[in-house]
Formats: sequence, structure tokens, C-alpha cells
Amino acid sequence: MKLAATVAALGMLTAACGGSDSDEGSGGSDGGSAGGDLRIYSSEPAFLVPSAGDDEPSILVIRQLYRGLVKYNQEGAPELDIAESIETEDNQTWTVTLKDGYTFTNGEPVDADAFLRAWNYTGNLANSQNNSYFMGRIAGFEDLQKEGVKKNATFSGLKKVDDLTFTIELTQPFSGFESVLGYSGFFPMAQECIDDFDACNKTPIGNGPYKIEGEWENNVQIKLVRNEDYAGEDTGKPDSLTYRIFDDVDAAYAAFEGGELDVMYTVPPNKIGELESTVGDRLLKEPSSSFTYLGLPNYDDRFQDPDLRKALSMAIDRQAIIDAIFDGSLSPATGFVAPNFDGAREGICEACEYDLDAAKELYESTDGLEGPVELWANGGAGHEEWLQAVGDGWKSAFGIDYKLKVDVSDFGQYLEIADNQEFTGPYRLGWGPDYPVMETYLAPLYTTGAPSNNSGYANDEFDQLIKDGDSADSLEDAIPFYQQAEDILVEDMPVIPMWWGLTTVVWSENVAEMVHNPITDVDYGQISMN
Amino acid sequence: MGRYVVRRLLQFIPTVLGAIFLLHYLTSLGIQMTGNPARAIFGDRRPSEAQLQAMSESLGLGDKCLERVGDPCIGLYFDRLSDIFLRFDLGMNFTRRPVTDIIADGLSYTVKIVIIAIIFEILVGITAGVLAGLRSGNFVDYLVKISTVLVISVPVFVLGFLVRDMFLVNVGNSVRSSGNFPDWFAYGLMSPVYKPDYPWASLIIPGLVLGSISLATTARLTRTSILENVRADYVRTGRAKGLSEKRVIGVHTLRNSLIPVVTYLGIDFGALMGGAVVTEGIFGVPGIGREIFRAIAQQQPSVVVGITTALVLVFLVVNLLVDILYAVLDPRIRYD
Amino acid sequence: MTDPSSMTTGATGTTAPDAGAGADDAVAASGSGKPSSLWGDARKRLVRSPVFMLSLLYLLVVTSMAVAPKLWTRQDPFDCSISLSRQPPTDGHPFGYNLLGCDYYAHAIYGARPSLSIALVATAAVVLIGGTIGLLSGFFGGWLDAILSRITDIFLSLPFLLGALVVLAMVSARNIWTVALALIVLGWTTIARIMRGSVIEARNLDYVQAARALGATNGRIMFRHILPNTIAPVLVYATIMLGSFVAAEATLTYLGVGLQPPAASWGVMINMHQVYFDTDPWLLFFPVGLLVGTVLSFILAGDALRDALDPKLQ
Repeated sequence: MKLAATVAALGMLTAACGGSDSDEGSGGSDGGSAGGDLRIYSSEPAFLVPSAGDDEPSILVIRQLYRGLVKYNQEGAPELDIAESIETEDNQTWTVTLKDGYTFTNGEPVDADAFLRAWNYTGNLANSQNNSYFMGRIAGFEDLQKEGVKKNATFSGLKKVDDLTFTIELTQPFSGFESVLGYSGFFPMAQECIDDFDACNKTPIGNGPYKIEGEWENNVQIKLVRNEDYAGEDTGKPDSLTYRIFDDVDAAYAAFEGGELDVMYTVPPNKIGELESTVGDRLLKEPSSSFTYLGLPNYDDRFQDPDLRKALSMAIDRQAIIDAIFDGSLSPATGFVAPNFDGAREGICEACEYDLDAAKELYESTDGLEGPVELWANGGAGHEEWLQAVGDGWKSAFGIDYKLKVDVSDFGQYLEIADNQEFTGPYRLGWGPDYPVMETYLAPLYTTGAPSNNSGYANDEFDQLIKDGDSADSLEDAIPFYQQAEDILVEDMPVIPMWWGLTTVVWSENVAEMVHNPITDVDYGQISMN
Repeated sequence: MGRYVVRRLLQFIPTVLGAIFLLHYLTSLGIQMTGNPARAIFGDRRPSEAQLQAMSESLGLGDKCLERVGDPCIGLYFDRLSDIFLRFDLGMNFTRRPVTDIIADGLSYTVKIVIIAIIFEILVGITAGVLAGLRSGNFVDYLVKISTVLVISVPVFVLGFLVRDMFLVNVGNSVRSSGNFPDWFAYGLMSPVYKPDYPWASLIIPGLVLGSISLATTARLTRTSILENVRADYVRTGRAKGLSEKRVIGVHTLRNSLIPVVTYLGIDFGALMGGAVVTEGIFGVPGIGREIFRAIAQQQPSVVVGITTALVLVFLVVNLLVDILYAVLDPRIRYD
Repeated sequence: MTDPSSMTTGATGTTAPDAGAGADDAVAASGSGKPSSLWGDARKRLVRSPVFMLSLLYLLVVTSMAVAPKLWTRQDPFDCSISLSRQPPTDGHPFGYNLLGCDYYAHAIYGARPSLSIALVATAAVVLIGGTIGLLSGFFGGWLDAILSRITDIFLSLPFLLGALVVLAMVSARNIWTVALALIVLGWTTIARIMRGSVIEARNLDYVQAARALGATNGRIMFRHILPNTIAPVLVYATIMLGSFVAAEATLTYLGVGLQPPAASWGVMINMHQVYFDTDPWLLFFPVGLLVGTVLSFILAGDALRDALDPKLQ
């Protein structure tokens, strides 16, 4: 019944990271055969249209219905999918050529127009699509986001060359742009879909290995069947995918235990302890990329000393809290970038280690804090318990009293407080990656004045390093710059990293081989069944 | 009777308009006090003024009166009324789903489990009440009293968990693996959650859990009512003029005793539709209760107003039927 | 719904005292305390009822926890250590430790106060508001009754739980007062109906007519002659209501809109630990036990009170 958590999940890109020991779906029949009906746990998606679906349940369906320019391999690197080639000289102007022969399920071709119309539609303020944010790097975005923009206005940075070729111009060079294109918000859309959004949402018109059967039965189920006209190589394995929709994960888990479901990508924390005896090895645990942190109001005089911020962080026993309250279902943060992202360094953040004596010593060298410290979280979303544990830790370490400020239970209102920098003490917030480049954990949260920089942190050196990284020749060249930027954060500790999520996938005996992608999570279409 | 029904139907108008206004006022006040709910859609990414504005407009939250605390938003209220009654348009939720669709899809599940609950109350509750009432003070009476009071004081979500995790999962799994039971029983009735393949069977247990809340009240009410009526003059008269005991109790006493019980069941219909919020969540039933719960938490005014109005209408109609039933049960009541 | 509404009164199971009892009532209320008065008889019957006495005893115990928790425990419920999380009961810690490693027994004792306060505040307000509306509506009748009855209908037609959710969504804060507010806004209608029914019955009694003929003012008639007649059913219902409000707090908390930690009500305790039902059932057992006991006691006490006050059932 953690409803606010569902709200919080809106606006988060699904990207569970972690290598999987299962091999890539190569179409072979080594572990099982094609066919069967795979019954999948899902919560109610928000939208089944690429331009609007930005929450995990939506994306897990959209990825079986649609395909984009690139997909991710098992290392998390982009690989061409529908694109024949993606080329650039300066990381600012990109030329995309498409493979021929792909069609939507309604017969429309998947050509340059299919992509351009989708992106123009998404980026235009008049359509208020949830994924418009992700179009922000394309030149002309500002103009499309002005009030009173015309419905047919388009990006100045998008140009069609011929039926299968188009160019993209970015506002600034960005070496990681190819990775960005694998996000489902960049998938193509049929003209029919844009003409009647609501119909297309209910009965999607896709270009992927699966197509919808009937229509989306809201709150009940979504049934997909293999798309026999799909031109790609990675055709679906199960005959059909049935996403059974649940509002409450506990109820869904009861259904799984009762043999009603084949795959569950979320397990209620209290059930994690008993998994070994119940599902045995039909289980996959990988750190995910969802980041929880305790923000510190850098705009408040009391929190301006980096040493104090570090001392606070060192007094938190993350592992003990995770074990006690989350049954070990999270992994403690040791840096600012998700551990499975290219360029992340394990243990980089020394002040994220629990060290009570060092914390006390460091705290003594600062002016300290006057109690009671106010700890903020949006109420009713299950954050009260761990915040209390953090407060209890500080209380015993530094002797400062704390007070929970959890009386704002409306998430929108809580976010407004964040926007207006009105927090009066440490506050909990989360972050999910926009694209699989480590920069996604740095630039949006800590560059001066960035939209999600709610701590008010400002450091010119950091800003410059991000810029240098973005305009580096390639992603490989960019990473050292990003790492230097992360080093600055480790020194300054603008926020206290708490932990990373842990994806726990369990499956039934009907599943012969689980297929998991580090970026896009479980690939239902590639699972083979007994 | 016809004139009475027309008069009652006319009385619906102020009640429905009033209920809509009340909900409209409460939801507007909520937005005024806690800020624009459209902000939550953007999550951790702060939207620009223009983006927030555009999103608010597209969700029907653009009216300036929603920024002034205490403003009853009369203009918006009349807009809503004309949308509802002239265009039959109840607005959309935050994922652009028309509220009329939400109601059309969800209401049938909720009404189904409420009907199962009511039937359960009638069969078990009234029987238990009659037995206890006729044998006041003996073992049956105490048994009914204790068991019903116990059920009433256990919170329904605790009961729901027990039934789902202990009974439907554990017992259910052995039923399913034994293979001795028909499919509708093993995979329908004993399914831990609602199952589209068995649209009635898998709703029975959730309905029983829902009905158990009011079962106790029904039984106790019947008992009290029977107790009062067996001493009434007409019963004595009946006996005096030589009617059989069966007829005195079975027809006269029972018929009169059921009047307050029927009234209660009518009112209970409304309470059960609200109580379904909890039961539907526990058993994964895609009913209206879960929708409205989500809508309330995310402050989606159109959905809250739309669904609740539908529930109010159902409630009013059910109670009208109950009142008509009175005339059948009690010949003294004449509506014309 | 005007016609059957007086029957609705009966339907809640709280039969108004009949005319004879009403007269006795008036006497009792005027302070002469004759041994044969309704209240006197009722007291005698209640003292002799073991169910009532046991319920009363239980409620006294629980109330003492709420009023003076220090009588029951010296532990500080907020002195916690995460390393003790969910440790089972041991010596000196009869209820073990909760999720955060706080002493669970102390939590259970301190949990009585918020749970009972909400029920008490809500019931008092409901009796006051519902009672006043019912009294005015029943006594004056006519257009005032028509308007008040319509308003009652509007609130009555809203499903209780949903209405409470809407009210709580309106105020973002979650504390004793806001949760009580939600219960009040939705809960006053039944009392208003009971009151109205009893008042209409009492209004036409001979001695009220006589008082009117003697020139008594409306105020005097209402408070002196009618109110005493209506107290019994309202009292009975209010007792039962206390129990159902204690349960309602737990349900709202379960839905995530009631009290929130660090507040320590029984509802919060149940909600925080409900997922550990399989592994550590005692975490659920203690708060549920206290809660069920309290609700049960209120209902049984209300029952006994009704039986004692209703001469027809003797």
C-alpha cells in the first residue's frame, strides 16, 4: 500500500544495471524452446506510447512493442538496431541511416519520418508529453518549449535527407549521444498513432517483435503475441506475453506463490530472506541504478562546511539499516555513480564508509550542529523508518537530537519545497538515470542551477569538467573528465549518498532460461520456456 | 407508489448536486492547500513554468482559482456540472484515461464483490441472528454474539492477509497440486488474487472477507429485532387465534423483524463500496476502489468527483429500492 | 429519505426509550435519584453484568496507559538501536524490539494515547455536532428539518472510507487532529439521525405538550424535557463509535493516510510490521491484540449499556 512510492517512480527511466550470467538471446534452443505463454507481473503502466511512457512498467511493455535506433548489449554499450549507421564528426551533428524493410503493425514504413515525427511530437510543449525532457539536447528545444508554441512546430535541429536518412544537430557537443538514443522515448511512432493518441495508447501500433492482442485491459492485463512480420533478428521466443497488472506488490507476490505468475521483477523486501528456500536458484539479484540520497541544504549556513557534511555521512551505518529495515534488498552507496556504469569506481567515496570514531573526530573539528536537526521526507511512502534510523545514529554519535519532518505526504508539494529550496534540514530524494552514461548522475544533480540540483551546490571547477567531458571526442575520452568531476563531489559532499536499489527477479519453474539486460532489465521476449 | 418514486427521484437532485459540490470543494481546497498536483508528474526533474502550465492545462488544473486558498471555484463547479450532465463528460485522469471508461471498467468488479458480500450477510447474518433471537440467552445466542463481535473488532486488512497468505496460498497450493478438484475451484475460487479467466469464482473469497465486516452488525440487528417482535401484541394475537407457531414466527415475526435489517443493508451497500478499497488492494481486484484511492492520493479532482458521484448514485438507487421493499415487508407503510 | 428515517434510528439497534421511561428519565435528570429510575435500574443491571464489568476493567487499564504511560514502563520508546531490530521477546523486554530496535513494550504502552485520543476527540465532536443538528432538525421540523435532512443525506451518501480519504488528501499534515477531522466530517450523520428520531418521538409526548401549554420557552423544553430523553440511545451509540473509531484509525494508517511514524499508535505499529507477519508474527500480535481488545470492550460495553437501558428487553 505504498502509493506515494508509485508516484515517485513516475519520471524515472528504467535502467537496472548489472551483468547477467545468461547469454544473449541468440535464437538458439540451448536452454528451452520457443513457444508458450509467459505470465509477467506488472503494475499499471502510465502510457503505452513511446513519447509519453516514462515509468518502469510502461517501458517494460513498450520495449517489446517497439524498437529504436540502438539497443544495449550485455556490457551496457549501444549497438545498432534499426539504424544502419550513426555517424558524427564533431559530436554535435549526427547523421543517421536506417535499415530498410521495417514496418509498423498497421503497414506504415519505419522511415526517417517515423522518427522525426515522433521526436517533434514529443518535444513540442503543446502536446505535453512526459518524455519531452529527454529531447532537451536537440537544437531548437527551447523554441518548442515556449508558451503558445504552434502544434505543428518542429525542431530546427532535425533534418530529413532522404527516406532512410536524417541528421540531428545538438545544442552542444555530447559524446554520449548514441547511448541516449536507446531510451524508449526515442522510439519511432506511426502517423496513425500521432493522429489519434488515445486509440494508439489503448491499442499500440508498434514496430517490435511483439504486437498487442485485443487492447490494453486497464488494471487487468496486457496481452502481446509474437509479431510475425517483424523484420529484425531477435524475434520473440514465447508465443505470447501476458502482463498481469497488480496495484499492490504483496498481492502480486501472493499470486506468484500461488502459481499465477512466471516472472516477477520486484519482490517485497520481507520475502527476500526466505527466497532461498522458496525459489532456490530461480533468482537473480543485481544492483540497480536507482539512487537514494540524503540531500543537504547547501543554501543553509549551517550545512556549508564540507567536513560537517562528511562527518554526518560517516556516522550512518548504511549496511545495518539496509539489513534491518530492507532485509538486505539494497546495496550501500560508495560513490555518486551507479556501480555498474562505465567509469564508476567502487569505494571512491571514503566518507560513505561507516566509521564512528573518525566521524566523531571530524565532527569535533567543526562548529557542529544545534539540535534538533529536522529530517525531511515525503510522508506515507515508507521513508520514515530509515530516516529515524539515520537520526538515531546521529543522536548517539554526536548527541544532537533530531525531528522527523514527514508531514508533507503530497509528493508534488514535497517536490515544490525542493524546487524552492525551502528544506530546513537533510532531506531524502531519489534519482534514476536518463541514459547509460555516468554523466547522468553528475550534471543534472550538481551543476550550478541545473533543474534537479535542489541542494543549491555550485562549483565552477565541477561545471567545467562536465563541459569538457561532454565535448570530448568519444565516450572513452570523456570518462576521465567525469571521474575528476566525481572526485570533487567526494571532497565536497554536497549530498549524502545512501544506497542503490537491488533488482530482484524471481521466476517460476515454467521458465527455462532467464534473459536479463544490464540497461533495460528483464527481456521478456527472449525468455525461453519449458 | 408511482408518485412516491417520482418524488424520491426528484429528491435525488439536490443530494447529488450537493455531493458533487462537497467533493468539488474538498478537492479544490486540497489543491489550493498542497499545491499543483501536476508537479508530481515531473518527479525529480524540475519543470519550467511553461511546461508546468501546459501540463496543468492539459489535465484540467489550469484554473487560476485553484491557487487562491478558500476560493470555492464556483465557475469551475458549474463547468463541471455542465460537462457531467450536458455532455456526459467526466474528464480524464493523469494518464488521459476518460473517467467514464474508468467507471465502466471498474464499477462492475466492485459491485460484484459488494453483491457477494451482501448475499453472504443475508444468508449467514440473518440466519445467525434469527437463531440467536429465538433462543435468547442460550448457547447459540452466546456463540453468535461472541463470534460476531470478534469478527467485527479484527481490522479487515488483518483478516484479508490471513485469508490470502494462509488459506489461498498455502491451502490453495495443496489443493492445486492434488489435482482432485475441478479447475474452477482450484484455480478460480482458490486463486489468491482476482483472475480474469474466472471472473466470478475468483471474486467470491474477496466478497466474503468484505462482507464479514458487516456480518456481525447484520446478525446482531436481526437478533435485537426478533427479540423485540416476539413479545409484540400481534404475535400474542396470532397465537391466541390459533395460528401455528411456524406461521407466527416464520411469517409474521420474521417479516416485521427484517425491516430494520433491510434498512441497514441498504446503507451498508454504500459503506461496502468504500470498504472495497482495502479488500480490492489485498486481493488484486481491479475495481473502482483502487482507482479512487490512487486518484485521491495523487489529487486528480475529475476522477475523485466522477467516481464518487457514480457511487453516490448507485447508493441512492439501492436505498430507493430498499424503501420500496418496505411496502412489501410492512403492509402498514403506504407511500401514496 | 424522510419517511423511513425514523426507522433508520431503530435500525442502528439503539431503540429509544419508550414514553414511560422518558418520564422516569426526566425525573432522574432533575436529580431526585429515585431507586426505580431508569438510570438507577440500569446501573444495578450493569454492575451485575460480568461482560460489562470486564470490558470496563479493560478500558480502564488501556486508559491508564494513555493517560500515564510512565506507570507502565520506564523505557523510553524512542531510545532505539538499529542493531536490535526485530529481536524477539526477552527478559526485561517482554514484547521484544521493533523494526528500528526500540523497545516494543514501551511502544505498545505509548501507542494507547494517540489511538484513544483520536477516537475520543472524534466521538466527542461527532456527538456534539451530530447531536445539535439532530436536535434542531427534530425539534423545529419544517423547512429547517428539510434543509438539515438534505445535508445529512449528502454526507450519508458518501462512502465513509472514501470520504475520509478525500478529507485527508486535502490536508497534507498527518496528526491526531487531522485524522480525527476526517472521522468527524464523515461520522456525524448517524448520530444526527438517531437524535432526530428520538427528539421527534419525545416532542409529541404529553408532558412536553403540557410544558408548552404552560408557556415554557423552546430552549427550556429542549434542554429540560427533550434532551434527557434522548441521551440513552446517543450514549449507547457513542460507546460503540469509540470502538469503531479506534479501528478506523488503524485502517486509515494501513492505507498510508493515517498517522505516520515517529508517532506511535497501534495502527502505526501494525502497519510498520504487517509485512513481517510470516517471519515475526509477535510483532503483529501485540498491537493487534491490544487493538482488538479495545474495540471489543467498547462494543460489548455499548451492548450491555443498551440492554440495561432498554426496559423492553428485560
